[in-house]
Amino acid sequence: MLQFSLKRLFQSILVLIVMSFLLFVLIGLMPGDPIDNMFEGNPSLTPELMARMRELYGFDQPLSLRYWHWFSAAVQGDLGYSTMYFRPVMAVLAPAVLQTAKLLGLTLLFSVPLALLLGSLAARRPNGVLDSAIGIFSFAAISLPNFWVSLLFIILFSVTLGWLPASGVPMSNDASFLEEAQHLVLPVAVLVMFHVGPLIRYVRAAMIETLSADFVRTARAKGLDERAVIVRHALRNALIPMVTVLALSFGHLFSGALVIETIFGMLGMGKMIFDAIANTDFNLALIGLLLAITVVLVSNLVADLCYALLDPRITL
Amino acid sequence: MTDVSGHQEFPRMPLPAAQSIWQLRFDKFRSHRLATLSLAFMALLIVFCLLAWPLSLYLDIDPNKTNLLYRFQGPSSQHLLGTDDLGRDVLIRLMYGGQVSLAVGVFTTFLMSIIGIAIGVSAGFIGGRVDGFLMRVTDVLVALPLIPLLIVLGSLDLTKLGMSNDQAAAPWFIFLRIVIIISLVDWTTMARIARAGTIQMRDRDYVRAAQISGAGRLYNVFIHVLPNISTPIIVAATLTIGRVILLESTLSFLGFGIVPPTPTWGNMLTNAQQLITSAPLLAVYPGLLIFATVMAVNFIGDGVRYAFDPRAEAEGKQD
Repeated sequence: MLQFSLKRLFQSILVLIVMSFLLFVLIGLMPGDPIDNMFEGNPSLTPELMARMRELYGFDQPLSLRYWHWFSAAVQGDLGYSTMYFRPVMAVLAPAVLQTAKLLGLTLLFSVPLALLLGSLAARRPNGVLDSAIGIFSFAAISLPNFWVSLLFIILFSVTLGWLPASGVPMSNDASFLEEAQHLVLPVAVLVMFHVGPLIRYVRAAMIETLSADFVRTARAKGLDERAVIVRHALRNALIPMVTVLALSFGHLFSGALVIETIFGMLGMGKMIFDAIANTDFNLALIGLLLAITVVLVSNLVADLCYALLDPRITL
Repeated sequence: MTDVSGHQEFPRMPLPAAQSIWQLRFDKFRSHRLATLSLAFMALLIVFCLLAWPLSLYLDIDPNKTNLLYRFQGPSSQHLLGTDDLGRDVLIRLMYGGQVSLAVGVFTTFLMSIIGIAIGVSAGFIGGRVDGFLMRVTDVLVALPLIPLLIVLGSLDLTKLGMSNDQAAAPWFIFLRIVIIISLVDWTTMARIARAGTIQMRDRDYVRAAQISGAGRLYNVFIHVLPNISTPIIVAATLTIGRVILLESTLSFLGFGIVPPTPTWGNMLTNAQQLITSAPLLAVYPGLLIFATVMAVNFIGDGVRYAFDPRAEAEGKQD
């Protein structure tokens, strides 16, 4: 177990280093460079001065050397400045991480129980009326473009009915809890729709398989009522692989969060990365992307370990 | 008298006419009602999109020409669905946008399948360390958030790689570029399916026999492995098209995919958020078409899966 964890941890770190190099190269290929950005802020810079500054900041050095400088600084905790916010990258990212954690946490809080409920209901009578209806719902949820659902929700609930605000965060900093919750309803609803489709299909398949297992027949035979059979016997067993599925869906969920944060104007990780790339804030984009990748890798690692802890049949 | 030899003459049963596997699959597909409906819908949609050129000639409209005097016009005999925020005809842009979105879906799926099959078959057929390495890469890529990666790839300035400005801004190149970047990040499902199929085939007796007779690896892959794993690959490819259309529209919506003036359903929604109070319908049509198309493609995929796999049960099937 310990050996397995260490091996996986080592692999994850290796992946992170490789990804940081790839992203470093790719981000270097984005239009312009930080000196060009300075020129936009101060058009009186002469070409000679700009060439001098490129030399000063090391832009004339080979790529591998530049990466090494960046890497050794990053490992020592110096993540650099954001050129868009004129603040250290860490200071910009910390509140963004909190915002995204809030959004994703709330989404999981609703999407997982909803998927379990609908998936188990559908699995009770495969190909029955309820199963078909839930099947079509999950197909629709998978096929819906999440940015369009956001627009429709804003048109319907904010513009036409006026029930909910069209932005994801309150204007003032000292908004009440209720106010903040109101702003979160639409983004979370869209993200739940986005996340729940594949999950339902997964729960259904797992439940159909579990319900045909011998121990379920035994449970029924000893006279347990249907709810106890489904919830206590079948669902608990179907839940174990669900941990892996959830961890794997994290990257997908983050993609959705990027789109939804952008539409609802929430300054989370996704929108931060989007803005940083759109405004060629190289440092912020790089660190933001690496942070997102780290979260995904860690969640996969944790899921693998949980899997072994939850299921006594599996030894690592 | 009974026949001592035990031989008994049975009345001859009329044999059913021999049916090819494709006939059987087609019949099974047709019994999947939603898939059949979706196929009809897609046929109509393709006709609808192809009508763009004749219709624009007939009505004498240039879909990319902006005319600020004719902004937000309601439906009229000239502009059947009205005009957008720059005075362009909405209907004809929807039709052209559909051509682009569908073409991206088909071409990307094709390229992605080639990449995925190459990686999956190599991993499965060579095995050992190559397999371990390729599958680790696949595992990692599957978990990564695709949209941020695609935004990075979509924002690259290819003139830094020595490409001329005109080339990099040409519409055909922007199209090709989105096809390539989506293929580069989303081949993982295909690779896994191809690998699983290849591993099953690799140890079959006839593959062994061919190897012993001196057949090379490539011969075995093309003659024995690929034809035998084509079924799951066709099914996966059908289901991929819908996902690709969604990815493309999301990227174009965010401004990192296909850029105006070329219309796509995704980039027609880019400005819609600012116009929600003045022209909400502009936000409805393109998204509705994306949704209907992806849904139809997914149902067709489900139908194909049902028709090709003898054990499969249909998810969206209704009797």
